[in-house]
Amino acid sequence: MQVFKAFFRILYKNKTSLLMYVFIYLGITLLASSVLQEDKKTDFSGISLDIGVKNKDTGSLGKNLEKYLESRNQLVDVPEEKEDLQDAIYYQEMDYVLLIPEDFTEKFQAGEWEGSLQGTKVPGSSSAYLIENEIQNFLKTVSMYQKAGCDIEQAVTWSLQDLEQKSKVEFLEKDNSQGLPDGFYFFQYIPYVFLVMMILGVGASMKPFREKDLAARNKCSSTSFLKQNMQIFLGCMMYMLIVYIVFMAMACLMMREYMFTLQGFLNAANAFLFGICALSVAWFSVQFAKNAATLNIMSNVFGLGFSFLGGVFVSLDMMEEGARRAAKFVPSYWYVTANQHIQKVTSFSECGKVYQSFLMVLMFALAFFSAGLLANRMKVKSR
Amino acid sequence: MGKKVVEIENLVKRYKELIALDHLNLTVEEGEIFGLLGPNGSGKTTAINCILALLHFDKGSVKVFGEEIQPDSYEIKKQIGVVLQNVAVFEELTVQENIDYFCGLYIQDKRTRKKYVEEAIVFSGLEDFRNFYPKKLSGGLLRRLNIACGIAHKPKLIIMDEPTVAVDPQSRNRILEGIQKLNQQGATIIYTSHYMEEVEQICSQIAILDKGRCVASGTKEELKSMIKMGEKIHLEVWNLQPFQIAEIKELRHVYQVNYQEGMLEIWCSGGKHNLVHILDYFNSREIGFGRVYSELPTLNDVFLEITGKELRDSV
Repeated sequence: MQVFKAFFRILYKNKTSLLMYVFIYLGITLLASSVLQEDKKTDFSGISLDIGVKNKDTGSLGKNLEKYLESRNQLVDVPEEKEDLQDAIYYQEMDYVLLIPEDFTEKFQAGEWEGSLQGTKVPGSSSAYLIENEIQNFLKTVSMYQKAGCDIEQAVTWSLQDLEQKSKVEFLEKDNSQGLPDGFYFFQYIPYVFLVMMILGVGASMKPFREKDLAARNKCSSTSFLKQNMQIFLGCMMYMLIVYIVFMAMACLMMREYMFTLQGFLNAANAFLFGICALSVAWFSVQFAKNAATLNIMSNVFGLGFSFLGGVFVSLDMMEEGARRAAKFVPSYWYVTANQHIQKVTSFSECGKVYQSFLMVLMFALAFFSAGLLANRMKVKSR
Repeated sequence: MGKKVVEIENLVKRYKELIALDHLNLTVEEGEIFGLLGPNGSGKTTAINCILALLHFDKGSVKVFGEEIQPDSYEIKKQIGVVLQNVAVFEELTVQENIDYFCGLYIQDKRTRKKYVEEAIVFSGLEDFRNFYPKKLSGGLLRRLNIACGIAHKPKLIIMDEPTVAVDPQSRNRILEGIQKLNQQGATIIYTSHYMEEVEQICSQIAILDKGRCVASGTKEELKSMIKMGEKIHLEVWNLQPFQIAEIKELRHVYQVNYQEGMLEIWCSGGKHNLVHILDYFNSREIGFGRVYSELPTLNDVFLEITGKELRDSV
C-alpha cells in the first residue's frame, strides 16, 4: 500500500490549508445561523419613538395633539436650555422635539396653522419624518372634520377615534428559508466547503502521481498500474469519508437533537452524496491542473461558481427565473433543492422530490467522473 | 560468454515522420557496465524506454532476462532498477520517505525494506539529509537521491539514463564510483550518457548510437582499434615552412597534419614510436620546438571518424 500511504503523506503536508477551510466554514455557519435567526421576524409592528413636546398652547388642540402623540410614542422631558436640547437630539436621546406655540388653537381655527409648529430634529432623520407625518395626519383629519362643520372638540374626538384604527399588515411573499432550524444553515453551505476541500486535497495528493516523470517511474515498478490506481482511488474515497465524518461529527456536536431526526438523517445523506460528487469534480479538475496555483484557481471557480449559481450563498427564491433555470446545470442546485425539500417532509414516504434531487447529484458525479476519465485518456494519448 | 540480460533485435520506433530507432541491435550480458553513448537525439532514451516497456515500438523485439518485456511483465520489472534522466521524486516526501516509497513498490516485507532503505541511504551518502525535502537538496544530492530510489530494492539490472547531467564534479565522481561498486556487487548496468569520459571510465562494453542506429559497439579498446587514428601528437613550433609540413606528412604512420598559430597537430595511425620518429625529424632539421604532448584516441575520435561529426558538437 505504498501509493496509498504516499497519498496520505502528501495530503498531510497540506493539512494547514485544508483545516483552515474547516474553521472558516464553522465560523461562517455559526455566524449565518445566528444572524439569520435574528432576522426571522416575519410580523409587522409599529415603532414607538422618543418625542419631547413643549406645549405652550392655551387652547385644547395643542393638548390633544400631545395626547395623540403620547398614545403612539414615548414622551420624554425636554431640556430647558437650547444647547442641552441640541445635545439630546445629537446623542439620539430623543428623536424629535415639538414646540406648540401659544396661539396654536386660534390659528388652527382660522385656518392659518401651517408653519406654526416648530420641530427640532436631526436633518434627514427618518424618525423625524415619521413623527411629522403623524402630526400632519392628525391635524389634517381634525381640519377635515372642522371643514365638515364640526366644532373643534368634536373634530378632535372623531379624529382620535379614526386614527386609532390600525391596518393589518400581511406579507405577500416570504423568504422560504426563514424560520428554519439551525441544521438547515449548517448543511446549506456544505457544497462550497466540500468542493474546495476535495479539489485542494485530492488535487494536491494526486498531482505528483500524474506528473510525467513520476508517472513513468511508477510504471517501471513491479507494482501493477491497476494496483497503483486502485490505491489512489482508495485514498480519495478515504479522504472524502474523513472530511464527511469530520463535518457530521461537528453537526452532531452543534445540533445533536436535529441530527437524530428524519431531517438530520436526510441532510446527512444529501451531504454524503454531494461529497461523492465533489470528489468527481476534484478528479475532473486534477486533469487540467498544472500546478498548485491552477488548482487554487479551480477550487475557487468550482467552489464559488457552483455555490453562487446553485443557490448555496444566494437563496434560490431570490434568483431570477433565467438564473434558476441555468442553476439546474450545476450539482449544488440539486443539493440545495434537496435541502429545501428535506425541511418540508415528515416521513420517508414524502421524500420523492428529495430522492429525485439525490439522483441528480449522483448523475452529476458520474458525468464529472466520466469527463475526467476522458480528459485523462486524451492526456495519456498525447504523451 | 555471459548470460544475456538484455537482447534488442531490429528495434524500430517511429514518432510520426521521425525514426527514433532504426533497426537497433544490442546485447547486454550479465555483469557488464554497458554504455550507450551518443549525442542528444541519437535514440538512447528511446531505447531505454523500450527496454522498460514505457514505449510501444513499431518493429523488432526486446528481451529482458530472456523474456519479451511487456508493460505488465511485473516479475521481470522486479529485477530492474531505474534511474531516469529527469529526477523523479516526490517534492512532498523527505529523502527517507522517497526511498522507502520506491523501494516499497518492489519489496513488500517491512523489515527487509527498512534494511534496504538504510543501505541505500548509506550507499548514496545521504545519511545527513534523510529528513530533508528534495527542494532543500543541491543538484548533486538530488541526483544521488534519484539513484538511491532506483537501486534501493537491490535489482539485478540497473538502467541509468544520464544520471550525471548537471552535477558538480565531486558528486559526479561519487556517482561513478557508486555505479562501479554496484557492478562489483553483481548488478548489470546499462548506462547512457553523452559524456564520453564517463563512459570510457566505467563501461566495460560500449555501443555508440547515432540517428537511432548502433554505429559501433565493443570494448573501448575494440572501438578505438576500429579507427585509423592511433595517436595524435601536438608540438609547439614557430615558423614552420610549407615544405617542412609536407616532409612531416611523408613520415611513417603520419596521415594528417595541421599547422595553425604555432601549434602543429600530427595524426598517426596505429604504430610504435611515432613520437620518437617525429622528434628525430625535428632534431635532424634543427627545428626548435616547445611543448610536446601526445594523445591517444578518445571515443569522440571514434565517433568523429565513424559519423563525420564531433560527439561534443552534436550535444
